[in-house]
Amino acid sequence: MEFKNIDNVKYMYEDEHKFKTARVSFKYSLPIQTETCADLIVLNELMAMSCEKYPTVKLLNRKLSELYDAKVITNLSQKGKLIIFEVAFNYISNKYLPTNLDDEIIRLMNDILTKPNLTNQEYLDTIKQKRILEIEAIYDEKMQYAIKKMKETLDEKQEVLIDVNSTVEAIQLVSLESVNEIYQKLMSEANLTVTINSENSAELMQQISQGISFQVKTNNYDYLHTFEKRDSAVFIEETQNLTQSKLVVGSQLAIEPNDFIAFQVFNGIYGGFPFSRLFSNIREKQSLAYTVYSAFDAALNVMIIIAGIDNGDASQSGEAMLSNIMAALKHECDDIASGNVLAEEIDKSKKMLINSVKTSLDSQAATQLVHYSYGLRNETFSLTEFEKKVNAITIDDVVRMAKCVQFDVTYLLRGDK
Amino acid sequence: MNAEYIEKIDETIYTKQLDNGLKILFVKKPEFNKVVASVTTKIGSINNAFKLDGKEYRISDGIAHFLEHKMFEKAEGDTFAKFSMYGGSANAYTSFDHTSYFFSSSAHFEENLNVLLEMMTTPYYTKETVDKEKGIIGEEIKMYQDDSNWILFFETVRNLYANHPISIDIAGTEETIADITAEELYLCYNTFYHPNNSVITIVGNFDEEVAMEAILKYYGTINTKNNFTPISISDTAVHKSSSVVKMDVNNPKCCVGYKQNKEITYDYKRDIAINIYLQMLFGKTSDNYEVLASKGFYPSYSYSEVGNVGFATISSDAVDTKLFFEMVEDLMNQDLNEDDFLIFKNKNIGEIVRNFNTVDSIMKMYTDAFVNEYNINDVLKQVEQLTFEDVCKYAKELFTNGNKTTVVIEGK
Repeated sequence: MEFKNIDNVKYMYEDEHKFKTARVSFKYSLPIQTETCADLIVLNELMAMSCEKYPTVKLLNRKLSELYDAKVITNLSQKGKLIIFEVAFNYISNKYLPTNLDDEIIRLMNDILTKPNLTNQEYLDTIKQKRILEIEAIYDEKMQYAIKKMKETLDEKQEVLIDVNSTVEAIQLVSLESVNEIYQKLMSEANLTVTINSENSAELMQQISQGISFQVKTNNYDYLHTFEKRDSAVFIEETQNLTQSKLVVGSQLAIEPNDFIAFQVFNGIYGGFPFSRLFSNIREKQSLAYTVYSAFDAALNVMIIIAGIDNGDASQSGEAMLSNIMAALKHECDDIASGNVLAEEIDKSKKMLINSVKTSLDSQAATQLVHYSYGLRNETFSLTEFEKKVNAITIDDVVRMAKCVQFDVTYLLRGDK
Repeated sequence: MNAEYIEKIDETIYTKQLDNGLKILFVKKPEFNKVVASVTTKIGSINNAFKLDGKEYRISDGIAHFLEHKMFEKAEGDTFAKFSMYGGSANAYTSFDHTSYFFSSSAHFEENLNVLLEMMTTPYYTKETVDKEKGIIGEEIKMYQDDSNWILFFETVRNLYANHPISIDIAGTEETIADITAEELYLCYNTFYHPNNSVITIVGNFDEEVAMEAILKYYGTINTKNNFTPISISDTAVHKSSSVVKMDVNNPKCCVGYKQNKEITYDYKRDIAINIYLQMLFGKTSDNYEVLASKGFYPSYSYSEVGNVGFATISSDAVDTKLFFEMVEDLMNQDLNEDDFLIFKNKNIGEIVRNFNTVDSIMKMYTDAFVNEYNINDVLKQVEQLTFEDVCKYAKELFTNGNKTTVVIEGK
C-alpha cells in the first residue's frame, strides 16, 4: 500500500487486479461522544439517499444503476475511542464494461461528499423513524439485546462502549439544523483517510485529489482505550418470555498493543474458533450450551463471552444450568492460566489466526479496513510481519494473557418458557 | 478437464464428470490468498420421499440437516479439529434442496481437501452419537423459535403450502428428529450422497493436479449403482389466505406471500425476470420506495424457485400492517415504466460481474447452478436478452390474488 498526504488528506492506494470492482473509501474520524452519534448516524444515511444534483432517492439510485450497479456504501462504526464515518464507492472496473466510469464516478463522489442534500425534512423524518424502529428491533434480537445490556453495565459512564446507533430519545432530537452542524464539524474537524483499490490507483488518486475539494485539518486524536481494573464483579439478570436464555460475560482489559496478537492467540484457544475449548468442551462434550464463543476487541480492550443456554427442564433447573456453565467458562480460562495448554492448541490457534487475516485480504473492504486500522496507530500492515509476530508467541505469552481475564460483568437474559 | 473461457468476465471455468456421475468444477484464482472447496449434494428438507429398487421410502423430517451435523463426527473425534490443525475453517449448511460442506484456507490446501473428502466418504453413525446429537439439534430448533423473522417467513410458506415438504422446517421438529436412527442416516447417506447426486467445487488459489488426485483417491473408486427417484408432490392452491402469530416482539412484522399456481421446473429467465419486477416495484430506484418509506415501511422482497414450487415474499416491520397490505396490493396493480427496465438490466449485469469478486460468491453461484441445473456461463447473455414483455408476462402469472397469503406477527 502506498501513502501520500495532500492538503491534510491521507491517501492510501494500491493497484489491484484480482477484483472485478474498484473501491474508494472516504473515512472521517472524530473522538466518539454519546452526544454526536445520533446526528452522525442520521447524516450517514442522508448522504446515501440523495445530494443536491440527485435530490431524490430515486434519482440517485437511477444514476447508480445506470453506472452498472455502482454502490455508495455509508457506514458509521467505532474503532477504539474514535467514531468512523465512512462513505465508500464501489463500481465495476472499466475493463469489464463498454465504457470508462472513472470520470463520472469522481463527479458523483464530489456531489455526494461536498454537496449533500441536507434540506429535506421528509427524508430526515423517514430516517429518524427507520432508526427508531431499528433501535427498538434490537429488543427482538435477543442475543444483540443481551450484549448491548452487558456493555451498558461494563461502561456505566458510557465513555467508550457507546452504541453508535444511539438511542430513541437522541434520534428524536435530531433536526435539519443539527445535521447541518455535524456535517460542518465533520468536514472541518475530522481526520480524513482515502483508501483506493483499483486497476490504476495512483492515477485515480491524483484525479480524486484534483477533482474534490476537501477542507479538513490533521488532528492528533487518541485511538486505543484501556480500562482501569474493576474492584468487584457485577451480575445482572432480566427475564423475558423466551425458549432459551442468553448469557453474556464482559471482561475489561488493559492489554498493551505489543500484546494484542498474544491475546488473540489466547482467545483462539479459549473461545474464538470452532476448535476452541468453549465450543469443544462446553458445547460438544458437556452440552451446556447450544452456542458459545468469545471475541476480543483490541481497540476497546474488551473480551466478551457469549452463550445461549437451555432454560432448564424437569431434570435440571435453570439455576443448575447457569451455575454449571459459569463454572465451566471460568474453569477453561483458569486452566489455560495455570499453564495447562498443549503445544497443538497454540499451533492451531496461530494457524487459524493467520488464516483469518489472509482470507480477509481477499475482500476489498476488509483489506482497506486492515490497512486503515494499522494506520490509525501509525503502523504499516505487512502480512509477512504479522505472520512472524504470530509465530513468535509462546506458551508463556498465552498464560500471561489468560491471567488478565476476569469476569467483570455477567448479564443473563433468562427465558421463562 | 474441459475449459470454458468467459470473455466478458475474463474467467476460465474447468469442468469434468467422472464415470460414476460426480461433477467437478474448478475456478482458478491464483491472485487470491484463499481457496474454498465444497462438496454439495442434492438433499435438503424437501427431499423427504423417494423410490429405490421398487420400494417407496418416507424419511424423517429434518434428516438432511441431521446428516449435515453428523458428517463431522467420526470414531476418532470431531473433524473440525482436523481442519484446525491445517488452519482450515470449515462449515456446512442445509437448505430446502441441498446440503453443502466446505472449507476455506490460505495454506495446507492438500491436507484440508483430504480432510473434507475423507469426511464426506466415511459416514460414521452409532446409536450413542445419534442420540446425543438430538439434544444439540433440539436446542438449535428452539433457537429459531425465538427468531421472529424466521417465524414470519415460515408461517408465510406454510400458509402457501399445506402438503408440499417446503413447509417443513429445515431442521425438522423435536418430535420428528426423535425417531431418527443410525440406520435411517445410512439409508439417506447411501441414497443421496452418491457421486451422481453431488458436485465438488473448488475456487481460488490451488493446484488443480493436487485437487484432482485427491478427488480420484476418494471418489474415483466408487462404482456402486444408485437409481433412486425423488417423489415430488404437487401443491398448487394456497392453503390459508391469512394468519396472525403472537410473539414477544416490539413492533409488528408482516409479510405478503405469492405462489406459482402450477408445478414448475427451475427457469433462470423467469427467476431473474420476477426478481427484476420486484426491484422495479419496491427497490430504491422506484417511486414507490419513498412512498412506502414515508409510512415507515422498508420492504424486503425475494422470489425463489425450489424443486417444483416458486414463491415470492414481501415483508416489513410495520406498525400499521393493514396499510402495508393495502399498499402492496395497489402496487401490484401498477403499470411499470419500460424505460426503467433498461436501467435495471444494467444493474443486474453489474451484479453478475460483481459476483465474481470473491471466491465465496463464485462458489455459491456455481452451487446454485448445479442444484438448479442451469449453465451459469450463459447468465450474462440471458440477462442481456431479457425483454420488458418477459418481465410483465412472468409477473402477471405469479402476482394474482388467488395465489396470495398474508401473515402478521404481533406482540402478545
